Order: sequence, then C-alpha cells, then structure tokens
Amino acid sequence: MYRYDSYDQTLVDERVAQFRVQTERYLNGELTDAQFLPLRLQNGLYVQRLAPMLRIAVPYGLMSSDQLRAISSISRRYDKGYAHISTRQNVQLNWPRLEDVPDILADLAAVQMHAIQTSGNCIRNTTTDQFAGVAADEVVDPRPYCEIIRQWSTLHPEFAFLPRKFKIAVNGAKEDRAAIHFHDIGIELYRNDTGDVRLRFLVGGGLGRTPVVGVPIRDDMDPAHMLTYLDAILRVYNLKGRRDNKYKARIKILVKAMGAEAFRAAVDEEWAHSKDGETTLRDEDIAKVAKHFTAPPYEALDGEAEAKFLADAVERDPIFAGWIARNTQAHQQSGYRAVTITLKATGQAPGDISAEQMDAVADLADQYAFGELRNTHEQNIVLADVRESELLELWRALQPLGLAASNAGHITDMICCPGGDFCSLANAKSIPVAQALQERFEAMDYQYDLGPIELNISGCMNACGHHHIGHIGILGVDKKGQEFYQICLGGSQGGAHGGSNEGTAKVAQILGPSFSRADVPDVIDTILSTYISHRESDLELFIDAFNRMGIQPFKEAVYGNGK
Amino acid sequence: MGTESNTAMTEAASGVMDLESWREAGRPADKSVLIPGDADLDLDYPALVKTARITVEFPVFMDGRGFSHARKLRDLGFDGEIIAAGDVLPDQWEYLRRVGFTGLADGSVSDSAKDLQAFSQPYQADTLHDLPLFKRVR
Repeated sequence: MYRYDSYDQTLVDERVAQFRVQTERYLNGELTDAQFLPLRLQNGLYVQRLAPMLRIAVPYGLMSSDQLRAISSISRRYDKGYAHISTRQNVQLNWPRLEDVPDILADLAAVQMHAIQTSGNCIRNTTTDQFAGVAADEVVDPRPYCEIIRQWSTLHPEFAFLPRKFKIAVNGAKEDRAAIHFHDIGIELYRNDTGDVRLRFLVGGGLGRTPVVGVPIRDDMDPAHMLTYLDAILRVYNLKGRRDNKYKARIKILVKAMGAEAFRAAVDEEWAHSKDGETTLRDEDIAKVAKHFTAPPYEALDGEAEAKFLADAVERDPIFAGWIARNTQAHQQSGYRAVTITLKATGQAPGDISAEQMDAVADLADQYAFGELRNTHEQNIVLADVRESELLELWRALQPLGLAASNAGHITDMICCPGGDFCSLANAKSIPVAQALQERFEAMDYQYDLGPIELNISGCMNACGHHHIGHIGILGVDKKGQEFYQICLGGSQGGAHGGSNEGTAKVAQILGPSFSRADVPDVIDTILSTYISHRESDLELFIDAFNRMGIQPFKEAVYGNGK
Repeated sequence: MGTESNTAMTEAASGVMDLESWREAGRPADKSVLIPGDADLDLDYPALVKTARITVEFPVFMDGRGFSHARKLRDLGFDGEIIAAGDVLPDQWEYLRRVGFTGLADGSVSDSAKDLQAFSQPYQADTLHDLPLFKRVR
C-alpha cells in the first residue's frame, strides 16, 4: 500500500498544527461559528444530533493493521470504544470532544492518517473497488490512479470552496464495484486494442434527492491527462455550479441544465489551457506511485493442494461452506482468496466495530493477510490476500469475535446510514429498521435460499444509505412529524451481485405509499415471498426476476389488486 | 452586488471601475477593475487580461468562484495585481496566494493573516510553485 514519504508526512503534520491553532482561535472566540464551520468540516469534524462526529479519511479504503490499531486506541481514549465504517470507505467516530480533535489528528498523523476533506464543500475521499489489485476480473489496478488523485485533490487551493461536496470513484474491473455511475465523476480504467491503459470519464451521477446516472463525457484518454482534465471539470463546476440552492448545487444539476454536449465543450475549453502543461503525468510519475502497490510476498503455493485442503474442509462443515461461498472471492493469485468480514451481526448497527474487534482483526490481518485491510462501501472489512489452506483457521478465529457471519451480499448484509439516532438531517431512524430486518431474516436457510440481494436503507432523501441503488431500497420520510418508510425496488449500482444485467446501473422504482416502521419487516417479507413464488428457478436472482417481471406483481402482493 | 458595496464606492473615487461600468465603456485596457466574485466572466477574460489591476470582491467567504477567476486570469497570462476584497477569511489567504492573488484589500482581514502560511510543499502546481510536487522535489 502507499507509504508516506517525508513530503506527505510534513504536509499532514503541518495540517495538524494549523487546525490546532484554528481550534484555539475558535474556543477563544476569535473565530465565529460560521467562520470555523468550513475549517472544521475540512478537517472531518461534523456536528451531529448529539455530538460532533469525526470522519477519518481512509484513502480508497486501504488500511494497514497498525492504522486500524491506532483507530482502536483513539476510540478507547477519546470516544466510546467503537468506530463505524462508512459507505465512502472511511471510518467515523461518533462521540469525540471538539477540544480533543487536534490531539486525535496528531495521533492519526503518527500513523500516516488524517481527516482532511472528509466533510465540507470540497473534493472528498476517492473510492474504488475493495478488491483492487486482487480481483480475478481486474483489467487495470485502480490504486495508483486513486493515490495520484488523492494527492492532487488534497489541499487543492482552487477547489476548497465548491458549490457542494464532490465525490470521485474509480473502477478498473469488469464488474463495477465502485458505483462509478453514481458519482460526481466516475473514472473507468480499461485497456485499448494495443493493451495501453485508457480512461473513460463519466460526470454528473449521484444519489440524494435527484438520483441520476452519470453521463460519459470523454473516452480513450491517455492517463497522462487525468489530472489536467480533472482540473478542467472542477473549474467549470466551481464557476458555473449553482450556489443559490444547496439541493441544486451538485454537478449533476449543472450537467443536466447545460446538457452533456455543452458541458463537455466548456470543459474542453478550460482543458485547452492546461492540457500538456506542468501537471501532465509522465509515465515515470505513474510508475513511481504504482511501485507502492506491488503484490505482497505471496508464497509459491501448490494451487491444487490448497484447493484440496479447502474442499475437504468445506465438505466436512456446511456452515464453513456457506461462509466460503458467500464471504470469499476468487483471487488473481493461485492458492489465495479475498475474505469479506461482514459487520452486520444481528443487534449491531451496520458498519459498527468495537475497539476489541478492531484489535483482533488487525492481528488477524497480520497473521493471515500481510497486515492489510480494506473498508468496503457496503460497510464491511476485507482481508484481500488469504491462503486457501488458512481460511478454516481464520474463520474459527472470527467466530468468538462475532465476525464470522456468512451473509456477505445477502439480505442481512445491508447498507445503512446512521439515521435519526445520530444524524441531524435524518427524517427517520434507520438503524432500528436494519435491526428488525436482521432479526427477521437471520434464520440461515431462508436468507440463503433467497440468493444475493442488496438491501439499502437511508434515513432521509440525502441517500447516504444508497437506497436508490439497492435491489430493495428503504427510505425514511417524515409525515406530519411521524416516521414512515418508502420502499423502492430494482436499483442496481451496476456491478457486484448485479445479476445477469451486470454493468447496468439503475435507479430503483418506488413501490407505492409508505409504511410505518413496524410494518416494514412484513412488507419486505411479502416482497421476498413474491419473488420466491415467481422466480423461474432458484438460480434466477431477485434482481433478474424483478427486471423480467417489473414492479407490478410486487405492488399487487403488497397493496392488493385494487392498487 | 459588488457595485453597491462599500469597497466599490470608496475605490470608485480612486479610479477603479466596477465591472458594469468597465463593460459599458467597451472593456478598456490598463484600468483597475472591481469584479464581484459571483460574476460570470466568460466574455470578459480576454479583455480583463489587458487591464492593470483586478480586485475580486467575495460576496461570502464560502463562495469559491473568486479562486477560479484568479487562477484562470493567471492561466491566460494576466500579470498585474489581483486583490481579494469583501468577505475573506484570514485562513483563506494561503489558498488565495496560491491561485494568483497578490494582496488583500485594506481591512478585509487582519495583518496576522500573513503569518498563517501553513504548508511548505503543497502537492499541486500553482502560481507560487511552477511544478506539482511529483515534478518539483520527488
């Protein structure tokens, strides 16, 4: 993974010193709330319903075991002994004190971490495929490009006061596990006919109140131009994006208003000034960063022996077999698999992990996975490089930690925002809905008979739980001061578990009038029974059955024939 | 909004033209022009590059358009002074300098702002650094 050199370290240390002074000025009354607001936001400090929340940047989700131990230690010392994995692959602490934040940032800087630009109207953490570098379907390793974008976007002087937050995602695999169609900018890395890396740019995708699939604006780009082209897009957005209404300030609204053609022309006009300029990447600049992402020292394994060991263990234990089938992935390297540790145990808020679990997972990463971990946008943790013959030991070690649930990609492995329990924007609570659904569906056999299903929950239309792109989406709404839940079906992020329509990003359709919280589990049950009774075979996934039949059978089942 | 502001009124007396008057006068060269930070300057850049001095007045400090205006003027070859006026935070001074501002209007922030430079080697190329970090020192 990427390790800081002295320049990266100095910059992060300088940032800590700067924020320490800014916090002192605020606490002394030299800065007003309004003046301190963007300064604290751009250092990750966001005020929620009950306390400030500190969002720690985990660039493209990649962490070392030492970094996870440091977060564990910070959570014990300054918070309530747990942390939360966010859908942007970051880590959040829910209960820090403002006065402690400069010290927390200093502790983070000591392990090459920071909270720069994790909130506020600026360029946020760039996200990518959690299986980057190991996925069997990978075409181009996205991590060097993500790191180059991280450096370019960090403390960029021109784009710290944008109309609204700005999110970039990069995908380099055949399946899109990074949801690049639903980002302000999505970059797809691919190879042309002669095998050279090329970039395709999508702009104006997003969730929130107005879900939009991004539009392609440039294809066949040499990576040399990645940063100058990003500068050009951001400049057009910074100058022309709306600032009069925060709900119309995202780039998707600008692209719609201008039209994709006019937007492209405006970007090209800006780009004409910077293209081939000093920020152009030379091959050696990319190669230098790529050196940080070489393969770990894999052992030369007897692939057949590893596979046989695993097959024997799978044969002996059906529960282990289920975990292998659902929570491990094919790997580029013979004899290895990537493991997903789901943070979705019943009774736990999705994505939460205790300090004890963090320490233990860090140790397991050292023991089995070269000391590396990845946070996923499904709010789980991945150990990317585990020997097949060691999977049984790892699984046994995860059991006493409550981290051996074999539900990856299934209905209880849901994405869920913090909701009304924590967030001051939320219209409704989301965590209790997730918990009720986990209780309802944890009975193993039924859940796994359903096959892979993505269920996403947001507590308000800001859509932090990505409800628009779940196969089943649940949205909390406020009706005259009461919490209700709208259900939508058929969304797809365009990649993982996407059924046979892989690569087709789609926004979900609303099922109909909303429900009380108590009714939600029954309604979801009805939807699932409808799927079971209508599917052509148990090989037809929920999303495929939905795409074949449309929403009508589900409507009728839930609301009766009258509607 | 800039044309009605205090900055505009006081500077008008000293020969500074506000954007509207400058446009109406046929966008003359060698003038000092006061630009509201939220203006659309698409048609003005070519002539602005030939003026003597440009003041960008930020309507609110959260409105970052002024940063791109300055950077774009520098990209187009403007080499005169660019002054930041209006609602500017001392903490923005470092970014302002890096995109091409050369000074702050009197009273817009305290002198202590000039001590707030925090970063010795930023990642990006800018008007203070000819090259991005990856070509500058690495």
